[in-house]
Amino acid sequence: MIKHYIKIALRNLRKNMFYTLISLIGLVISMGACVILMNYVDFESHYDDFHKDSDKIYRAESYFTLNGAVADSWATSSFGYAGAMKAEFSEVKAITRVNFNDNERIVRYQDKIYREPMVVIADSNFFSFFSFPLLKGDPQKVLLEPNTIAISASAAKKYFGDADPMGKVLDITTRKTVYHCAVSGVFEDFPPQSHLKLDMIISYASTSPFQRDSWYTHSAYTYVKADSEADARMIEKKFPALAEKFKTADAMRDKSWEIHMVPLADIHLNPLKPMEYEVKGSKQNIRFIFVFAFIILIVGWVNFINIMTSKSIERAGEIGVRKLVGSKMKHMMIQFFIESFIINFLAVSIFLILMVIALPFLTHLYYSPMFNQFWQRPLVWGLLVLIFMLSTFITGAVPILILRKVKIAVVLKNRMSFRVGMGKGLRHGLIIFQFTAAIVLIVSTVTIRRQMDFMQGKDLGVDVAQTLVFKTPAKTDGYEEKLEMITEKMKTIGGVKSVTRSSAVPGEMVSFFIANQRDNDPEKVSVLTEMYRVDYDFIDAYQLKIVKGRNFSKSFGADKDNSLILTQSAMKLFGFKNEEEAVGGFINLEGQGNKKYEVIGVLKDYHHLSLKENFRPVVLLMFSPWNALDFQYVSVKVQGANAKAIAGMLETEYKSVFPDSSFDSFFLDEFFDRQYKEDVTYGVIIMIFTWLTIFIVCLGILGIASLMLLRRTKEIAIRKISGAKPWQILKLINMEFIRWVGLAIVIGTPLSWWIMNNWLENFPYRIEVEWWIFVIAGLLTILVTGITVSFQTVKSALENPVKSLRNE
Amino acid sequence: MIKITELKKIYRSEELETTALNDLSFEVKKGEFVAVMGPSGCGKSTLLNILGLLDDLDGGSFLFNGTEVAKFNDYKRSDLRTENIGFVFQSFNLIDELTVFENVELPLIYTKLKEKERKKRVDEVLERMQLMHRRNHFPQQLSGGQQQRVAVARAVVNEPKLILADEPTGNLDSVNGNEVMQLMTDLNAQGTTIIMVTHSEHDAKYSHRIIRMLDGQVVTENILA
Repeated sequence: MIKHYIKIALRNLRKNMFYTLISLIGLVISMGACVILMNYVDFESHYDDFHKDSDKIYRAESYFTLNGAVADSWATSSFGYAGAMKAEFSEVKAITRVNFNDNERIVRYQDKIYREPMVVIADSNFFSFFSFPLLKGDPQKVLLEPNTIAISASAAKKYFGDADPMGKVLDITTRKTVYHCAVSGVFEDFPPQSHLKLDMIISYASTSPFQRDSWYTHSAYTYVKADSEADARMIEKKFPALAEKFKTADAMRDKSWEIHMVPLADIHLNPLKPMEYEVKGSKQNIRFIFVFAFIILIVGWVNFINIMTSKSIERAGEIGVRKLVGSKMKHMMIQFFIESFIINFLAVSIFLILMVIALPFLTHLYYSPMFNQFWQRPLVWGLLVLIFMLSTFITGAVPILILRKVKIAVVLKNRMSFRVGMGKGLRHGLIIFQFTAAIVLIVSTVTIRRQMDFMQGKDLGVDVAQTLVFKTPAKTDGYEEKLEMITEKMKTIGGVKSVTRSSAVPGEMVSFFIANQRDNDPEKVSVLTEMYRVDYDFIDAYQLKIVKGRNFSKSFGADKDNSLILTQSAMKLFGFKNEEEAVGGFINLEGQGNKKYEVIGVLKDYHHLSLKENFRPVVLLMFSPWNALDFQYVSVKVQGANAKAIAGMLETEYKSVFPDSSFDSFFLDEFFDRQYKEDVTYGVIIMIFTWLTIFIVCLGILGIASLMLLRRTKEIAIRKISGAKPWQILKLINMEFIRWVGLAIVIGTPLSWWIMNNWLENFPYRIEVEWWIFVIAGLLTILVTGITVSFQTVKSALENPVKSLRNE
Repeated sequence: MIKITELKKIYRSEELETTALNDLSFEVKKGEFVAVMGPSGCGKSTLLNILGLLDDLDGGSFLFNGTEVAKFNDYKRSDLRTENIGFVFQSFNLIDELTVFENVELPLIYTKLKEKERKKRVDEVLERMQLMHRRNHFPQQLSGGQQQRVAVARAVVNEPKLILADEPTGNLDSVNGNEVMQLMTDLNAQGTTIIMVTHSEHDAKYSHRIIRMLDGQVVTENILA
């Protein structure tokens, strides 16, 4: 019997090739889209869960309150937290630190010199605390000794080729320090789902005592293991009192130092905080994509169900005959589930084949990590099996539900007299659901695209175009002089407009926070501002606008070590009423005693970071408090189209002065735009899958139109005999659909408005969801529906009515 | 074999109630060939549907081989039908997606017969109906007469005791019509009871007895042989 049904199913699929194809395409797209999107959601939602005890690990993130209000919040903590917490809190079962101080370092082994972006310092228990596999070395001992380093497998390959790296010494240089570290371990490259992405880890014993125990600079991640959520909360509760004992310097002494124990699993999707080094995901985007994955799957099923409903009328005769000769309910179930099994199996197989073909290309995309080991991911297979089973059940059950009521006597007398038993309301509901989904997705696509264009097109207040930036070199003799010399030399290269040095560049957080006070402030309020070290040419080169006062100038000798320029946001934070009051005012910088620094100018606020961030309170200065604020970048403004040639010349000059440093450069506009990468990717994902959804909806409309025409064959024929023109028939059928689209617009408009406004709330600088977007979404849906329905209807509208009536 | 007493069937719509069969009573003995005639709407097809257990009755009694079947559920009806009754329709009602062989085999699929036995039985019937050369064709590839012969073959393949035929020649020309009627006569001669609804006086003459109906009631009965 099974053989019989398989044979019949295959014949049916072949005979109804058109319907088979549109059902299959819809299923392949919706199943595939759902699996891919859910894989994305799963990938983003399961960062760091590969660690043993991952549910017990927390990151102690700092926040500071003043009179109960949060004054600042960082992902990092101070070096001294770990030791004190371990000693004082019984709830702390284990603790480890990753110190990001000067994490970008130039690393050298013999003639191989590279700038490594993630060279950190970590406690000796790092590899036993986390579960990063070590390929060489003992997890307990690898970071125990001073001047030892663990490196990634990729780094080992890069520096040592196939030779054994163990014991070999790497020179690791910042602008001020040089470490000579022997390789004591090699770790597997950190997996894509790790928020930590480290290339090299220096042992904590290699560093100065300041970096080990001080309660001042906040540039370490502190990870804590606690047995329970309650213990974690208890640690949070006890921490402020502990901090009172230890916070030493005058930095933010007036504030309460507190911590949030953030579960390891939450780190990746929490919003980006200052002093956070990892690439972040977005919880909201993930939620949206999660819902989207189900919508597209349901749209695919609805489409299939509509087509099956349409075909059920034709199948009624067959079912009648089968019932007549002895087929029972169980036989009908076997038959339809086999058919459904076959078509769903085909759909899954086609998806798998397509993925095999597409995977090599997909792994080149921005979000390629989620396609890494695609076939090894249990979720992919689990989901495929689940969707396959669900889909087989749903697509098999629908025709059974419809056809179980077939009355043999009626249907055998006149096959076409069978009317679909499925509730009219439900069927119409499904159609309206499809149209509503289409409208919401169109509105979303347009809005996301507009927001991206808005952010990338808006005047930042700073000129990042035609700017080649290179990173400053590693420590060498006469460093500052050489850097100044090369800066001057570069200005003479043809095509170079200006050259300027700075501690950060637009697109990268300034991120050197210190707590300063307005001079003579009776309340002595510390204001946390970002300190931005620049040179004389910076403001002009970047075309920043001075609204009051003046630029740094060589004509004023004091500027070099005594003058400050504030952005308007910083000005307001210090409590100056306006620019007039600010210019000529004085600021006391943290750690500099009562020395007064003069505010010589106020800059118009500009977007140092993407438009996802508010304006930041920044203080520009030319000197380096405590010798801690280095120039890290040299920006070269170029003109003309030969930027690449200029880059070549810059490298030659650089290498002639700094032969032991790598030359690492980038174009600033590209660097700046990388901040939008995640959102652009998100927009592209939504756009691609929106069009796929609309395509499936069109297939669904074809199915419904076909069903409707079958049902109304006689009516259309009689109308034609009574004088109706073909266009009137087209209008008749189209109007039925337009009515549903109308209802979908009524539901979809407020729904999409709400969804998009929610999404836009993430952006401090955002567009409005304009009324015309809804009009476009509605019109587009009507247009696509009209074309699809007319395509299906035109044949019936032109058919000889006599023929239709005879068949009827 | 069949005894119906005061059979009642009423069709109800929202506003209308139509009595299709009105206290109808008659009996058909084993081996009989009975033709049921009457104008359109007189209840012939309704009667045939009830006799074939395809429709419910609203009153009266229906004894099949001495068993009251009026209250049988769908499952029991299906079993009784499969074991005892074959159907032939005016519009053949073959499944387009199945070959001649498969159409004829269909009633046996739902029994416990082994494939080999099914094949033997189908081939025998096809041989008898002179359709062996068409066994792998699809219905659309056959003439009307051939299609109806397939339908008859399907009706008799599980050797039913009763054949219910609803205007079996209605869609056929006279040559093919006669062929089908001859087949029915042969089947009857081999012991199968036949009840046939027809408009055709010519076809009715093949039967032993003609029951004439009007407004859901039997008006006359003519015994021909």
